[in-house]
Amino acid sequence: MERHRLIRWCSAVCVLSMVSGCAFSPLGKRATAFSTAASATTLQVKNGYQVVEQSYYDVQVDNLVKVFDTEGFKTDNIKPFLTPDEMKARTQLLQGLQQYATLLAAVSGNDAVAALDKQSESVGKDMESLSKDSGFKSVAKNSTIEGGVAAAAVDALGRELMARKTAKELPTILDEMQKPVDQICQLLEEDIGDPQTGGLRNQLKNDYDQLIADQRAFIYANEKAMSPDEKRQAIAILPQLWIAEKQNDAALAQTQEALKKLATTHDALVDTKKSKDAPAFESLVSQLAVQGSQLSDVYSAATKKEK
Amino acid sequence: MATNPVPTIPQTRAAAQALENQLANANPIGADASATVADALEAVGVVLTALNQEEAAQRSGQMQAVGQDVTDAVKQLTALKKQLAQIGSDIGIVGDVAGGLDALLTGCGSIFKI
Repeated sequence: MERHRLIRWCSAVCVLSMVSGCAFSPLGKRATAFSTAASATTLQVKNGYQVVEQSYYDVQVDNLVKVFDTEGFKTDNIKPFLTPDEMKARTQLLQGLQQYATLLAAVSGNDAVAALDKQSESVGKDMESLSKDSGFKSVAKNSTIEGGVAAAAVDALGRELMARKTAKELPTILDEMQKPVDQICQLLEEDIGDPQTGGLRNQLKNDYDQLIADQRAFIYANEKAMSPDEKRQAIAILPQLWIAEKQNDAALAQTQEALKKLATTHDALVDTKKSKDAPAFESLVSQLAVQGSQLSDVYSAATKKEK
Repeated sequence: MATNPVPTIPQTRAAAQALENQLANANPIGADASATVADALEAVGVVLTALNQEEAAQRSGQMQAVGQDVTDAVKQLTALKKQLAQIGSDIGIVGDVAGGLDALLTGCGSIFKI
């Protein structure tokens, strides 16, 4: 009798779990793992923008030093590389991806997603208006994705974040978001660009080239007034700048790789909708988590050096 | 008779980046040569930024006025052309710096109507 009751209770729990698609489903667990790794990665991408902003600022300070005797200090000459609109667009794209990852984890769990709804709705609204902003056009300009397609991807992500979702809709959410997530990741990856053809890596290279040339010109122009120790210190800055350029460029290249991996891992997650085991996805998600953690170390080291 | 085609933004940008690479890889010795290279790099940087902005503006169909800084940068590069050609081999610039500069200046002239 007791045994029959236990069997009935277990069956009921199983049926309820299947209906709700709760956290204990293999897909729910995988979505949660993806969410953690993806959130860590998107957080690090923001650090890449800071690295480029810092090198751009350093060049402007160098230029100020050059013209100070004749032109003085004009505040107009100190500008960020990315205008506030351009920076806001990038930040919102990353917030959208991050919120999507959080949403996946929330709908995969048993907890009510109501608490998250407000936040998702707010980020979703921002995403919908973002596709019309001039700042967004600056992100899309380095991309091979056509402007209209990029805007549609951002709109789709915004709409998804604004819709109320439940656990059983997880497979549908993943299907609907596969392309938009791929395209937004590609957009951000191509925005980072290449040292020769454009984007943030190109700006970083050109900034450091200028910093090195300015430092060399400064040494030759002032060497007669320098003590041997001062001259030694000034010369020692040259290789430091060169190394910083290589390290910061490598960090941006690693950030591009992480964005590519984020898209690939999301694709793999979509492919595992009906699978119980997903070794390929497990491997990708752990690689993504490692990349996120490595990026965190790289950018912390870069920030410490700047200080 | 064949006429030279008008340089496009990507072609002019490629010429500017090639010149930037030549200058960045140079090894000027002495105050004059190092100042010439630093000044030329600064001017090329201004031109590259302006070309990027112009390309984005063309894609979005928005016209934009040419800034005074771009006009100044192009004037500076024209003024530095002779000096750079003279010191080019001494400071380890590989390739034809004058030819690269000409391509850049022609492109800027037609794109920015300077």
